[in-house]
Amino acid sequence: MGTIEQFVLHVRRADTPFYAAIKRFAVRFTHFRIRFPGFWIAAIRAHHWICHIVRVLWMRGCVLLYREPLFRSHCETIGDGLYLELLPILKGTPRIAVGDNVRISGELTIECASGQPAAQIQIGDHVFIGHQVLINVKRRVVIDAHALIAGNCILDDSADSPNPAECGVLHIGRGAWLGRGCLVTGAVRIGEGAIVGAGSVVMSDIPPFAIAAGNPARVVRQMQSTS
Amino acid sequence: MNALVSAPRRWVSVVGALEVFRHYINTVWDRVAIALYREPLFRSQCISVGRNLSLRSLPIVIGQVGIRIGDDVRICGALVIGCAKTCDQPILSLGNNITIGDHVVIHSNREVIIEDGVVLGPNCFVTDSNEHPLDYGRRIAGEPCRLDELRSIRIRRGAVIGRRCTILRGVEIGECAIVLAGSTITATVPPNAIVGGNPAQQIGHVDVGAEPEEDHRGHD
Repeated sequence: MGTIEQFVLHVRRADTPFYAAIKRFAVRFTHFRIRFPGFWIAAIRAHHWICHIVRVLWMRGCVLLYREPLFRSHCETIGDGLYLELLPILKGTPRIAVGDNVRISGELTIECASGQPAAQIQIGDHVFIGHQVLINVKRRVVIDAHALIAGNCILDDSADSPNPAECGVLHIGRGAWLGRGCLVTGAVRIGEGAIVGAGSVVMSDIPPFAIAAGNPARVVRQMQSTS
Repeated sequence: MNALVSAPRRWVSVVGALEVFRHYINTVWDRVAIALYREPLFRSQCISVGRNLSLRSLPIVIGQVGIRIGDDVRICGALVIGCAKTCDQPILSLGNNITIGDHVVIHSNREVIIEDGVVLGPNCFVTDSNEHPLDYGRRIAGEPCRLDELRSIRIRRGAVIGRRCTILRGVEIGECAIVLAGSTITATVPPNAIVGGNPAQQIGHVDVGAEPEEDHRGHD
């Protein structure tokens, strides 16, 4: 370890009162704050807003000219009103069908084991897919209309079985809602209008209009269908 | 052979020196950007901010959240503070001496209160609403949560929340409680309890008899 790193380590640990004094000084130095006049705050706020607008316009331009046509060319069928933020990452060549008014925010990753041309993903109308969702498909993943899939969810129809013949269909029913960070694994059927709590691990079927949560997910409440 | 060995060594030392130099330049540039831009900008988005606020990147504030921050608050990385348009003036109140980790998301639609000395680990998610209505028809219609579906969150003094925790609406975490990493907290946590799991259950108790050691070390 070099002398500078050794010195920094001594200061970080505040080994002796000498190093503690240096650390106190360093903390005061890093927390040093300038009292800015009002025009500076106004200027940086304006700069921040302009940067924000430019960034949003740039992103919309990228989506319009590059990402959306590219993703459309990967899909077998795709409806109107698709909202994209980033280009979905495709590994392998699954057959993708997307409905109307689908919203995919942030990075969607679709993984498909190599040499599985029969793998199929079906996304219905008005589906919302959150930030950094991972769909791992070996045979078939079906997401029905109006389903909400929150950020950081993982959908995996294989349950770690290497053979696609053993994999079933992962089905998410109409209007079902997966909370943030859910893991759905295996040939699971999540019923219509069901709600899965945040961070749950779903390994078995969930009946329609049930609220399920936990690891492994259990039904905690049953609702009546209202519509 | 000698020349062959010595040339890469010289190259390695040059690369190492460049890397150290780049690191120091980056650090200095970061400090300048924080002092001149990020901190005053974030301060202008808050109602009140105390002394010694420590930032890395600019926290993202979505919507009109009324943010009050105490003294010695450390925000170590990306923080997202958001609200839906349900409540007119949602409140996020941070006390003194709080540490907030990287990639924390706090959704305050009514009230989120974090008291003094709380440590909130990285990748935590705190929300005081259900984010969507539980009712099937209203959810499909894309309606937001109603005001009466919001429940305030309060994290009491000295609680420690581990990495990747999810804190759901209406939760109160007691004084000096410890929440283990990856937990989902759905119910109130009593003071000095150790809870963990999904849903979080009590698995232990903090020994309150032990006095903390006094030493000359300052905090980071």
